[in-house]
Amino acid sequence: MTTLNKSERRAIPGASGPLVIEQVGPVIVFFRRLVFFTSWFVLWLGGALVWLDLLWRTGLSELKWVIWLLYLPLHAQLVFGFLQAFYGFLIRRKRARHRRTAGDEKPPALKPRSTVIVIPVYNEDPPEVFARIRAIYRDLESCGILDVFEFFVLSDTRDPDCWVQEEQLWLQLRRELGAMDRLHYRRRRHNLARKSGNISDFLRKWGRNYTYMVVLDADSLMTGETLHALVTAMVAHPNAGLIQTVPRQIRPASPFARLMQFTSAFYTPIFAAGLRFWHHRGGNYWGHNAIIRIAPFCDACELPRLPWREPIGGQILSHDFVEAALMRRAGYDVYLADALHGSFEESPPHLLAHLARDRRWCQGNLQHLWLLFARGLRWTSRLHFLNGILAYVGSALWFGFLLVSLLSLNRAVDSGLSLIVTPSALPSYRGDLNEESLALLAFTGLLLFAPKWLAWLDAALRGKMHQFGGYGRATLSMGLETLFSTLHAPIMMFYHTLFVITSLLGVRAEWTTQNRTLSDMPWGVAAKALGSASVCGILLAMGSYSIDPILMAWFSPIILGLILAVPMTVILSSASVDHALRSAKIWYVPEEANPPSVVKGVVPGIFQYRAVLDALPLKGAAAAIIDPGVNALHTALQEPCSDTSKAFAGARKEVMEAILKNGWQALPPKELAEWMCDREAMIELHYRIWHVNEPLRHPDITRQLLSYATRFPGEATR
Amino acid sequence: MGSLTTNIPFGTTLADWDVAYVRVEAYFIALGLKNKLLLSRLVSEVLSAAAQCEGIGRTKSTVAAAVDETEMRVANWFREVLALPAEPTASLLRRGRLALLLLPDNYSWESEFLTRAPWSPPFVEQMRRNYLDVGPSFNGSLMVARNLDFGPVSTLAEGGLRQLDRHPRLRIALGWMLLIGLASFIFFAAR
Repeated sequence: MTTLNKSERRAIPGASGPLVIEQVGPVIVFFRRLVFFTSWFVLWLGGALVWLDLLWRTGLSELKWVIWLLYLPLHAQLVFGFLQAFYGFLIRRKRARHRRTAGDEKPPALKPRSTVIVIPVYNEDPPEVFARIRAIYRDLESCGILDVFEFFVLSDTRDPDCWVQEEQLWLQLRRELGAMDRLHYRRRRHNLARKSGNISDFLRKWGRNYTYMVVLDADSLMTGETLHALVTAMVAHPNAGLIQTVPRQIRPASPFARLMQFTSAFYTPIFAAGLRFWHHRGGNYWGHNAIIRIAPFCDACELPRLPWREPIGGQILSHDFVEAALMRRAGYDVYLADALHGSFEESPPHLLAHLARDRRWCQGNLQHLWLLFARGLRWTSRLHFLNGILAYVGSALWFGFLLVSLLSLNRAVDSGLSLIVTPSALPSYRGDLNEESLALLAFTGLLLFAPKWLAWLDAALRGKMHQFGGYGRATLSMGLETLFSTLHAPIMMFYHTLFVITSLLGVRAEWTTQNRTLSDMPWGVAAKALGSASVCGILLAMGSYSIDPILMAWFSPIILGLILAVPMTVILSSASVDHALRSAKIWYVPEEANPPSVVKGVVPGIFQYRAVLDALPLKGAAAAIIDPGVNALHTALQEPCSDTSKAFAGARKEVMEAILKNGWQALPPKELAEWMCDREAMIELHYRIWHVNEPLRHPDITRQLLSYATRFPGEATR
Repeated sequence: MGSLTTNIPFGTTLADWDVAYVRVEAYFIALGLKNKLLLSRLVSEVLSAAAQCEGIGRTKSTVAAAVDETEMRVANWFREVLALPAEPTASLLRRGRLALLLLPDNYSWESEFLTRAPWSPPFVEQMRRNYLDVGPSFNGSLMVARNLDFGPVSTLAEGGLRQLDRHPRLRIALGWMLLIGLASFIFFAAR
């Protein structure tokens, strides 16, 4: 067992650390919301009226009314995003001036084992999962607060080999850390209601042992200091139901992931601060890297079934938003701890993985349409739902906007009529059409790009530019990010539109394991997945060119983004490009300059656990069936079979004979996993394999058995 | 084992005993034994004892007899080390194997294996302490979804959608109408 002495332990900053929950009175909150939404309304209405005026000046038609109506929600989203960045920038100036000093307050005492850290996993790579758990464990130990926490790995893994490896590494980690009574493992037999069901199952069985629960994803990391700050905040604020941190991306495996990492580190701080500015204690939950108060969560946050049927109704896919809304409905506060920096996650390594994830999220967010008008929910929760829905529906609206704009322009050009411009209908505006158009264009450009410069200024004023590689590199990084995000935006628009349509048509999104490590994507794979976007880009180019070549120039960012989808994806998944970016410190982030100890501990752990698994003579399901130790471990973790009927015993015997004759590899993975849940069957199969010398036994079984032997005698010839 | 090579039981062959040797050796290696001298001695003892088993070569194969003898010895040893006289053999074997698995890496226990008492106190303490505790005791909470009124808009929408479900032809017709409407809009808008 590893124990650290006093000199090895790190000091917890306690009350002098970052502010988790901002202490703001109701008057200030009201005033902030008034300012935010008033400025949103003014900017939105201003843009909407100017755009309507422009359309009116060139002759309003039914198509132009459609364009304007499509413009309204798009413009609303744009203004909302801008204002979040703007007010976030301002609020961070205020916080920088009012930083707390050491010794202000004594942190409250934390009860031992009051907090459980749950890690739901589903067919993840076991060495990566347990390397991260070890890193967090050690970080808590070095902070001297390990006593407060226990860990629970909640497995929904369906792959039999992966499952057994989880068990083996769990035991290995327990032994290594001396965490026999602190690190627990449970694998669910039936994957009901996916991740939310996984957590509910845990809470039903063990919930009352703990007061707080920290939910982590398989790729999440949190520092001991951040965990300590979260628990302290929950103790100090009895009405806090949930505190969400803002995870930063780390350990990028590709240029695409580096890009996401840079975006997360450079821009997210001001957006997160702006989000907190208006929602205050009506925050949201993102499903992981958050702490939850268990009692009200159990009492009030069990998910209802939505009306109608899946995919749009039925079981809720994106459970996190709903759980936050239910927590608020129960009268508890949901906060965003954007000041805490020790919270991390990993990004999908390429665009395809990102889109696969977005497909699920799109379906999940569309389901929230049912909840927009549900009784009893707070208006902040409804706004979170709406923002989530518009994140995807907005793409479809944008697609529609482009299409109708093209049709309108085509009609205007086809008509052959000259453009007659009428004076502006706006009071006291006498400028010409070009001026007004340029003003609107500049305004839209400001809404789109000013947040980036605000983030740049925020980093400069805080003296953090060196963490992004210095002023020159940070600016270049920002420029490159802007270029790629501009080119990516139309690709996202195209696929999000498809996702919205397919979801509404009843096509379900499958929950597959996130692929976090694939790099160097083959051209064929990218072309097959993204070819349709390129075709759309070519059609758009042809259509716009046929109307007017200048129009194609105006559409060029969209056209280029779509056409270049395939090469961009391949380049941004290239290991050599990643290496070059890393060497040049492009998209450089603070976590690279100064990696937290919890992050540093992950990679050695992954290599170590891979080596542990590689050194074993038998792997996966084979080990659970044949190896005496692994069989003992695996069967100890299964519940006794409740079915004692003769029919079941007969079925079990049949399957066993089939396995002995054909090998377990002949069973489909789902059936094998089901078999492996049967403790008695696994014990008996293990016994039969070792005791029986049947000539009909499958050669693979014999070979696996003999892999332990130091020599191979005549049995191989029988 | 010298007597076994010269005086094998009736109904068995040297080849049978070779197979049994490999099986027993594999079993001990699977438990974690690495020392070859220890392995060969233990295997010899097991096979010699198995050769005395009743019915060997007639009602019981050499491999079955050898592995049975192995497991009996290992179980008895676990019984004494773990001080569990009343535990059934099957669960004792599992518990003992787990206890060995839970020993720290590089812990040297081979010299204690299948030997008589006394064993080294730290070894006994480790084995008896090593018990796999999967999780804390159950102490559950009740989680039941509270009623949520989805509101009149959602209720109306649900009613409409369920009606469409009951009339699939109507649903298909509406879908086609939507598609044709969209295509018509695009057609006439482009003119």
